[in-house]
Amino acid sequence: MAPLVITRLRPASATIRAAALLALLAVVLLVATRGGSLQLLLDNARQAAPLGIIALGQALILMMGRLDLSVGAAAGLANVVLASAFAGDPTNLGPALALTLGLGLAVGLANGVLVVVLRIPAFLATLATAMVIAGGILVYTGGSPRGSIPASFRVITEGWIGDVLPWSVMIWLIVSLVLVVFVHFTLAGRQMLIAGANARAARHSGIAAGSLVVASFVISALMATLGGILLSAITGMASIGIADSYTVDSIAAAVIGGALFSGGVFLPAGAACGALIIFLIQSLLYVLSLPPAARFIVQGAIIVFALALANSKKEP
Amino acid sequence: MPDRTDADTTPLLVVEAMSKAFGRNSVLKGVSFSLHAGEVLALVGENGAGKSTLMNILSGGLGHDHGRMSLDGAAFAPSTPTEAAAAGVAIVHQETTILPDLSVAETIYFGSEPRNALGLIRQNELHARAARLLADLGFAISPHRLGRDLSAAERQMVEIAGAVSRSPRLLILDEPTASLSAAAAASVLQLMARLKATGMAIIFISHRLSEVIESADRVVVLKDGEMTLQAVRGAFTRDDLVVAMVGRTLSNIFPERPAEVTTQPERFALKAAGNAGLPPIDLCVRRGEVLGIAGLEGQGQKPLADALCGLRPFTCGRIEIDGQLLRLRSPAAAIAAGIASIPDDRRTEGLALTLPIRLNLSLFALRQGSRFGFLSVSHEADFAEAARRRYDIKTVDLEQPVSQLSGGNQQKVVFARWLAGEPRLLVLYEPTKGVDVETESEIYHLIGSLTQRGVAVLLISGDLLELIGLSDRIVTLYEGRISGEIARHAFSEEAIMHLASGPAPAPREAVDA
Repeated sequence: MAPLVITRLRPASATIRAAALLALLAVVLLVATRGGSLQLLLDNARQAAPLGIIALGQALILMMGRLDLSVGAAAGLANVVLASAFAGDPTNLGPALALTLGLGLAVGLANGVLVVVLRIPAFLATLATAMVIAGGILVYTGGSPRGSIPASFRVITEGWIGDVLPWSVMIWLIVSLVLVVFVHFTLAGRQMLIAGANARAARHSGIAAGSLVVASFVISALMATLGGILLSAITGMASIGIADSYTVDSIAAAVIGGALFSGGVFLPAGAACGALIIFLIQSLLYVLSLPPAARFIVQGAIIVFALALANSKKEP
Repeated sequence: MPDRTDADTTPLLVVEAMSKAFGRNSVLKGVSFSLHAGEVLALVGENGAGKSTLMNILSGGLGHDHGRMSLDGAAFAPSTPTEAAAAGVAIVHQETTILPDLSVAETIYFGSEPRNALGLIRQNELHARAARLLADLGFAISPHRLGRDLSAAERQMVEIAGAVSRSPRLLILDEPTASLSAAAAASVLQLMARLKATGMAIIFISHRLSEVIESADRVVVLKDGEMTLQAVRGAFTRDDLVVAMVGRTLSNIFPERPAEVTTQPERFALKAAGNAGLPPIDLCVRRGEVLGIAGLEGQGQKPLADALCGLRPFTCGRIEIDGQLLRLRSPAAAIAAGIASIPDDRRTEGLALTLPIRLNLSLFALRQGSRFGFLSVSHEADFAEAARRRYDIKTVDLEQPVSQLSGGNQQKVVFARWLAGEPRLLVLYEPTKGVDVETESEIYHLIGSLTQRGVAVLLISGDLLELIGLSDRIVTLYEGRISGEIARHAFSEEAIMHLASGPAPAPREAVDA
């Protein structure tokens, strides 16, 4: 039985391509830093964890043939709410997490209802949600968010397990594993995959495609919230618009990792490679003392490169 | 009618050893025929036989790999539809391309409208010209009517008028009568006769063998890309056509039907069941019975199939399965009640094309092996492997995307999925559309063996041979209502077409019993 499970997890060619690109960038970074260290790469991974987790949710939405443009706003919401609810006091842990995750759940449900019940195209519905959230944050904070994250909580991103593995990477790995098991080894996940690849065929086969779409938006919003929590632990404070770039970056990471806009593909390892690639590019540009704006140019070029590579294999 | 023979004149069109392949899949293999001016050639063959490919090559829509064509003695190899049109070849495709907001006249002269010095269309002249053309052709359609208001038959007429307005030497009609009632089809055939008398050569594709026998001066039958028959009027019979089309006699293709099905208990019944898209309908099917549902295109087949599978549920009337009242509210409810429905379009409604064959096969079988919502990987693998062997799905690797299978093998995957649990009622909607002859026969025998185990079958099909070969009883749909019923011993294409083209004044089933 075990070998069968392993063959099911055989990486897709898109994942292998993304991993190869990641390895190439890692080598370049190590050379550029004159020998560097594994520590440097792991530190990149530590900081990439919030994006990696958000990209996982985005990859799931892409699997359903849709886009979630509210993940950046949802992560930003998590940041502001968590800091405010914690107010620097570690004893507020329970209520702070419950409130933050509860709001994330609400965002996901709202997206799902807009898309499934009101039949608004997902990218427009989530764009609207993102605007409402951003406006809500401004109203609530009056432009100057308060509160802070207690140092004891910040261990989840700043701490290392036995000096070899950052806690944030561990959390990222666990969440990835849970999603992989969900999509590939549960009935609901399998139905979601089929609904993503062909919603009409899924409905014809008695799959409740609508509920599964709502579920996918809830999962995506929870992933964005978790990403926002990790991001808060990294910065230690609340800031407005801190996660805005994560919307576009999460799509880029998932697409570099082999996700297709047509749906039906879920490659969490690919999305992880995509997130790491985006962070390594930033580090590399910093090491090479290139302007930060060059990051967008390189990132755009890499998306084009990754997609051109993927398409070259297909027959026209 | 002047009987032209090959010796009289030089042919207008000569096609020699025409071949075409898409990748490794060769769809035309050395087809040769010729056609004289003033002749009607019928091109006959099953779906996927290569008819449309051949017509597309002739009309410049596709290039060819090998072979030669000549038109009026000159070499002819159009690389674009415009080039073919300039050489005098016009084609009317099966799917009409009528734009809803253009008038009939604008549609007919689309792209060649009379214009004034400013480049604006002279509307009056355009409509007057169209009125003359329509009158010449004997069509009673106003040139001012909009495309959206035309019936299927009128659309076809307008398309033909558009092609004829360019005075082609060769007119190609791709299934001009497929979606028409018998009366409308007859007027298309009359028009063909009139155009032919003007010296126009016509090639038409048809599945209706009676109209082929009636109208064609020459017939070409294709099967799997090869020409299996070419004959002139009078030198072929209906049976010749069937054998050439399917490659063997009907008795081998279809399973034997037992005689005693009419005494079996009733399995499924609709009593005045209908919804917004379907007037209330009554029908019943017995255990082990195949009830054929015939009809011209768009007579309620789709709404009926969608209601039976729960996608657009019945909103009135009573549905019974094995005598029990059934609430058929959703696809899940239909599946739970033991109704398996094979959709007509496997690519959009049946399969997740990008996903592996295994996933497409195992969808319904998964529930059996799973525990606490987790699936059993080994159970799924065993099921997929067993299905591959049982249905002879031709693939080396079940992990390949299902899109890489041939149409016939894709259809086997759909059947294998739906037959994972033993259904009580099997609803088939065009089950062999785009399926090769080999698989077609396998599917027919599979249906035969299912009925032996008591499965009731509703076969909704536009393929008369299939209906006649497989059904125990046939009802015809016309405008969403049942217009007649025929018992097996009274089956004939004519009888079905007669009932399918409108309500019958004297129903035949009254005599049968």
